[in-house]
Amino acid sequence: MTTKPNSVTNKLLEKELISNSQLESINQYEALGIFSLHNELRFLLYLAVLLFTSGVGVIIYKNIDSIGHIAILGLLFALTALGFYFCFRKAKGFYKEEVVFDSPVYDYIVLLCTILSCVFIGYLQFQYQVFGYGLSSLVCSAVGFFCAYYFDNKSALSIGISGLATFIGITVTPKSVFESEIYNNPLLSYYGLGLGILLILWVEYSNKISLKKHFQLVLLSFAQQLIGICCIAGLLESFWFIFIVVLSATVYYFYKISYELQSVFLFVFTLLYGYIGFNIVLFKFIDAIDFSSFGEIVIILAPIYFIGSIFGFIRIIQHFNKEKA
Amino acid sequence: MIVFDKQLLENTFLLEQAKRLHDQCSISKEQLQDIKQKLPVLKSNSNILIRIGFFILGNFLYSSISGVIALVIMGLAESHFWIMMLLYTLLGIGASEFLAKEQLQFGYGLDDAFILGFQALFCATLGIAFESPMAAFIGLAFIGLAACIRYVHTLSIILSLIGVTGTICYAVLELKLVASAFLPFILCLLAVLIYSVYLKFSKDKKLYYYVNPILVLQGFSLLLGYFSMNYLVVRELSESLLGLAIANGKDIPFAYLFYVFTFLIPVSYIVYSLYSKNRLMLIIGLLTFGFSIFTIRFYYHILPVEVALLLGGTVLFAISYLAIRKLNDKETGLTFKPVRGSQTDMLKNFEAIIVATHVSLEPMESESKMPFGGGGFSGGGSGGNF
Repeated sequence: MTTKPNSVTNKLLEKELISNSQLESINQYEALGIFSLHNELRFLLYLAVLLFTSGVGVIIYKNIDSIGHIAILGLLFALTALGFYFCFRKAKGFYKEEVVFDSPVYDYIVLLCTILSCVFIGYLQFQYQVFGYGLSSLVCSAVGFFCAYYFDNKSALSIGISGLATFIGITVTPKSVFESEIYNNPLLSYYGLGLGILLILWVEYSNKISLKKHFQLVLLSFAQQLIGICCIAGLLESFWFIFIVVLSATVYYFYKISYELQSVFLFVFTLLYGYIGFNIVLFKFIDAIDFSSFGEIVIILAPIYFIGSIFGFIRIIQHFNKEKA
Repeated sequence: MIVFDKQLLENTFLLEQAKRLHDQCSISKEQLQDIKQKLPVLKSNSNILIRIGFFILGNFLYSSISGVIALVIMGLAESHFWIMMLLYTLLGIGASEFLAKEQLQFGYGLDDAFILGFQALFCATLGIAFESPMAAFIGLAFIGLAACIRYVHTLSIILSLIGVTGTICYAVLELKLVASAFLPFILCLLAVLIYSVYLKFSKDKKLYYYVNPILVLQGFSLLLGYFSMNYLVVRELSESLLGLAIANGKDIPFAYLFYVFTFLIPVSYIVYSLYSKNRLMLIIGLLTFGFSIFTIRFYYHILPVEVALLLGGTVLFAISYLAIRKLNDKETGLTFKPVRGSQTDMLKNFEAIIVATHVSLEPMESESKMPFGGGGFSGGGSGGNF
């Protein structure tokens, strides 16, 4: 793409929309012929870490009885310790602002070490029951949070948060949203709500003391998924009217915050959860009044409602985009 | 040929370029605003969500108009169903013309619904009238191309290419114009042909409006070239389409050729893309290389899965590490420096979300022997990816 648009840039000059000196600097920049492999190489590193840790997981799973436990634990410990040694040596120490390693390779070594220590802790728990029930995921989460804040690593942060969620018994992953694991246990939705609100409070507090402000998007999206899933699960339970209030409050909060952060991701999920919640309530309402006398009207109105919703979505997103530009 | 007012279309592309320059920090925000005000442009939605929304609305519109017409001409449906389809096609063409000429819509969403809709209906008309898939494929190839040229519509060219490929496949498989065993080579030849068309067009500065369809040409030819020669695809398809039974110890015809090409093609894509600085080819090269590894592991379990994962991870890490070290200090050409105006933050957020799906931290109790704290089995699937 770097060579072709030249003629178009020239046309911009012809119409006197850009100045001569600008054209020159643009041409100079393009003459460098920059072809950046930044994202590609980072992604390959990331993939390598995932492959490697999967391999470790499979090895342990398959050889649980054949190799000695101490051998596995020792090897894991040595590998993790070696990784952490390098990271600590290269790290610039803890700062409230965003810090980056000189070479992004270390970001991925941190991720590798975080996952390996979780494997280590999990194995320790499996074999020797070192920690009380469920506490192992709490320990993993602590490791995750430490790595996240000390080495400034978003992936470790996400491991930390999912550790917390696992501790209370929920798996928050995009996958589980679709598989709706949470619906089996109503009590979980209260726990999930609590954790979600806690995360939001943490974000607000971090903003106040300006601690790692760039983490807020990850934290908020986890909070949003947690609260969203839990509210929708809650709406299907007996005490559903409480969840209407909670869901509307969160939708309002995330609507505001997504404008503030200009985050399309948060915005789209806000709309989605809001719309699903609204439809559940609407359905309950229609269900409550006598269906037989309204049946025909509902059938006639349904397509109009559907088209109207799409139109509404378009208008809302357009408004969001206008603010963004 | 092009339905749009030339000036407006040109302005649309100029504005696109200005936005790109703004992302590169070559021009200021005020200047971009100024350009936006000075240039009248066609109506288009750059936001994919809005475009999809309008696309769905457009489909509703198209089908409800068709429904009303169907009430009037119900009688036709029984004897001459294809005339009805032809009427709908004409309706779609009319609506597309109207939206493009009067409403000045270009990639707006509504117009996409009608442009794609009339092509599908035209294809159905031919299929029903001649009762032959061949006619439908040929029709699709031509009308897709025509729609792409007239409406500068990127998705249409994909339909056209599918039409061309389908025609050839049908001619070989059903009409037996040549021996079926040669189909992979014919398709590969087609890919080369499409690529040479791409090469010719991409150099032509006058075709700048068609920059996206031309990119599609390239992507399609690269993918077609790879998959026509991929061992897995050839073997599975010849088993299911040709009913070829492969006995133990036997192999498909020209098997060695396919083995060689399965790896040669991705590697040459990657090498050539780095040489010619072509990002699309690079990405396709990496993905197809992953698929090649999957292909081999599908038939031969050379290594146990855990060793393959460990080895793959280590090798990949080493390659990336060396590449980064080598490119880190370079300022021109191939480099590790992020491009001006690109968002590396997006990638980090994306990685953070993916890692949560990969690592499961569920506490292990003895009866459930599944994942071990980390590196759950969900990760095993990504082995195919690279």
